[in-house]
Amino acid sequence: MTSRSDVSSILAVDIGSCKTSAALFDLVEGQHRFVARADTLTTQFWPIEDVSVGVRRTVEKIERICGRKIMSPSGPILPERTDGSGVDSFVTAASVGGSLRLLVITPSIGLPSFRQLQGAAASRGCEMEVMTVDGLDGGSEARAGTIAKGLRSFQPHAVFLFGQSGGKAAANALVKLGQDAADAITSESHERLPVRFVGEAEVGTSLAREIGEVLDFAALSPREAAGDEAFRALDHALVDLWRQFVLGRVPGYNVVAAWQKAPAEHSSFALGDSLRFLAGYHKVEVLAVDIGASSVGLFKITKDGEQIALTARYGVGRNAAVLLNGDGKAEGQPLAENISLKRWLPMDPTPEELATAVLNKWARPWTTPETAEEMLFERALGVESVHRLRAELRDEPYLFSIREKEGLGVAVGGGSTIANQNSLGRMALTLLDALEPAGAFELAIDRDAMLAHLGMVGRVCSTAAAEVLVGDVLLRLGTCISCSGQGRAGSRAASIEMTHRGQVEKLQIGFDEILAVPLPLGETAELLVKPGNGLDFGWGKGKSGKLTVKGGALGLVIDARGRPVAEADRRRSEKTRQWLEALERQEAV
Amino acid sequence: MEAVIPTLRVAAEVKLCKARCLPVDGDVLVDPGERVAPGDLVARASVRGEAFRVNLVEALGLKDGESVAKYLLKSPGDAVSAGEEIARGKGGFVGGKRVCTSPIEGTIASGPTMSGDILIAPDPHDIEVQALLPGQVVGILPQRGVIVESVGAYVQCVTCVGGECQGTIKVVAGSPAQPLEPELVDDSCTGAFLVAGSVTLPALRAALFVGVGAVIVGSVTATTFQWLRDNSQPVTVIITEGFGAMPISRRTFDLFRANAGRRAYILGSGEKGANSAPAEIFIPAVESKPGLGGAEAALAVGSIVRIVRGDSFGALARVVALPDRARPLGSGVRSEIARLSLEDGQEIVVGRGNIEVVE
Repeated sequence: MTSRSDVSSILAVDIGSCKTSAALFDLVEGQHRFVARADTLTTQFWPIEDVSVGVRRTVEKIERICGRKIMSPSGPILPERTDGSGVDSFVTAASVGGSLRLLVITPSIGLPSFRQLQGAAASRGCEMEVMTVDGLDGGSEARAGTIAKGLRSFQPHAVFLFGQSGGKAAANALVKLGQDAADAITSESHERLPVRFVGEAEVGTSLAREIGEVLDFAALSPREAAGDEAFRALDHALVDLWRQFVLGRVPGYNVVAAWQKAPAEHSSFALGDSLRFLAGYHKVEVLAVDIGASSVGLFKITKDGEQIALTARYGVGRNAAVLLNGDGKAEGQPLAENISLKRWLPMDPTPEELATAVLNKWARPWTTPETAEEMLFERALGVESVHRLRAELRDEPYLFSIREKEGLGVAVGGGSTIANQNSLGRMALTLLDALEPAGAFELAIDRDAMLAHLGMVGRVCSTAAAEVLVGDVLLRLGTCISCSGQGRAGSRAASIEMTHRGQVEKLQIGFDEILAVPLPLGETAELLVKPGNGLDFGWGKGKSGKLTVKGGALGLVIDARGRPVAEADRRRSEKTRQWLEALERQEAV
Repeated sequence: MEAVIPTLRVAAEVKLCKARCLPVDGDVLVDPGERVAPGDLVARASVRGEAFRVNLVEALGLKDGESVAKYLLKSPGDAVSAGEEIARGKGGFVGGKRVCTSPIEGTIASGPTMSGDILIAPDPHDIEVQALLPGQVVGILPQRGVIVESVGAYVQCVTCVGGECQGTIKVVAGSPAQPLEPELVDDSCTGAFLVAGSVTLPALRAALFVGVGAVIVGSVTATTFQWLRDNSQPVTVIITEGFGAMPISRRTFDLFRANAGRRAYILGSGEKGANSAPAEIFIPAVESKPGLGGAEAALAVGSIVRIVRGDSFGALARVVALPDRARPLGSGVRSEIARLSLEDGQEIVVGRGNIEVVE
């Protein structure tokens, strides 16, 4: 880590699968400030097929905005010169290139070390194919044959071996399994395929002796490290593999890599760093989502720990067609109704219209919504992507706890699908639909995609990142109070007394409704919330409570739709339209 | 001012280099500089398949696996052919004996286990890679394959359903918008690559009936696309523009017309992944013209572009201006824009990423 005196100006670049963005930070009046940002289309595919060209073009835009020379023919000018050209540091994050594929061979998926890998892999968005040894018995040759088949069909970037010895016989069995895997790898001529063993150091040493000479082998022993340290050991192994086998294979990335000293990080992980800082600095819980064209990230940073999940299986670009999953398909009909996707739309497209919109986005993922209707389709794709990831994680709606003398938690939305929505109301509803938080919390949008940039900035100069983050780079929409539980549509969800500037306003809201009330940024209001039967606004089911809420660009949002928000329902489009109108009405005021 | 934007490539003549590789290491069968025909083998590897499990307790009607060994006719390491007896039981139906035969040709890999399983490993089989393109071997990828270079017309497409194949170009539509209808499909279409604006399901069925090589269209409806994906058919359908009702682009249509009767090759599956390349159609030139480079689709004032998003989806237009400043689109998204003149003279503004250079 470099101190502030060493690093004045920092250029951070984020190479997404569709867009490349850059942001310049510099010292202004003794403090680091955001100076300028720009983006262009990522140049991974024809006619360029070199992502460094897109990076250069993006930086050239920054140069035009600032009137400052940053790039030379050989890359960024480093460090900053006395004539003001160049920057002190150049860092990149990336989400281009897809996911890391791991073939995991293990005797038991119940092992603690397996669960640690599962957690680390989920946070890194790895695709895992798991082969349990129980299903592979029958002798070395048979095991090697089955593993070889897995190598051919899954085409992994790396193989992970797992095991817990629990005795000499079990340890020998693990070494034998490693030899079988090595046989399979060599018979398939994948000698360059990295093999990592996760388990006891003794077994790792034996395996290194047996197969380390012919394969790219390394033993990790997280079981001998505790908790976070074990996770970090696995995470380091995974990020190294991602840099080598995913990012390293993106055309032109090697040019960008040569321009920087700090290694690249995944964009969502860099964003997670910023969220972690915000949670720690403000001592609040943070729930966040990052919806990209080819990946979706989910972040939960609470007092109990943190959970980060990333997937490259969903998103609003090249993965959009995955979301046409065929639900509501009648027998004999080739086209499904896709109710799970349609439930997020305020209009009622035919199955043909919906599928056409999704397929055309899938065919050209780099395109930008041209019309308001296309933007709504992308909103639906984004929200459904998050729900698919949450379903895989069995993630329940999160209830923000309301504790006296503590700040409200924050729900943060990132990624172009949220940030590009053409109204604050749509941004708020997209975030609420995707995350389904309950309780009381602030709504914030990473409108300029600053968090990923600042996550990378923090890796070279933590004070610079902190100074900009504390200065608040997020668009604060206001406070939202929402209830968990279910009720009858239209029945009383809550009676609320809102005291603002000495005036008391009485509000009533029915179940399955949403409401926005003016409350300007920088102002606060006192609320007394009396929930309807069985509903929980953060104090417990049916329990009343008081809290202070902060204003924002949208104001106070009361979300009485219960949790979960929207079950797949053919009549849902009318409700979605009403919810959008309710939030946009306030914005118009 | 010029910019380069993502564009599906349509070119009358390019130099195309294609890697033709084995999925595993093997033998490369050709030398650098050698000329190859599409069907020529360029690489071969031998791989073994997944072992086949046979439960002798079940097959011989035994109580458990303990006594299986004494009924075995083969031992681990013995070769067996498909249908060959590998174990014979004591009794069976109407005085006969129960027998167990090998379902595959291979070698007894292991067994019997305590549960009475034996494993039969299939004999290794060959994987072969053909050149697919007529051209010259310009590079060797050791133990994996070759790079074949060829010169010809080239069309990148949105996607395709079906596999790589070859056939003769036959333009059956009179205009880029004309769909392929059943009456346009006859016996002369067998093995051909039919080119039309779009295709209906009845026409696809007719195409299947006469055994066309492939159907190349500008667009298909989502219903047709889903039908194609749900029903694996022995015909490749390649989509050059998108989904809905969109004609094949005039430039692509004219290119196919100019190459009617020529041999063409469909390369790549076109299935979208994070790093996948689009599906491609290649029509080799009669004579090789070395030295051609890949022309870039530079966007400039005066360029003819196709609009690929919004209300004018599929329309052709001429670029009137490329302003420096970004501005909000109808969706509210701020984007760099292009000011376009449509064919009827109307001027519209479109996001710069939402157009493709046609010429």
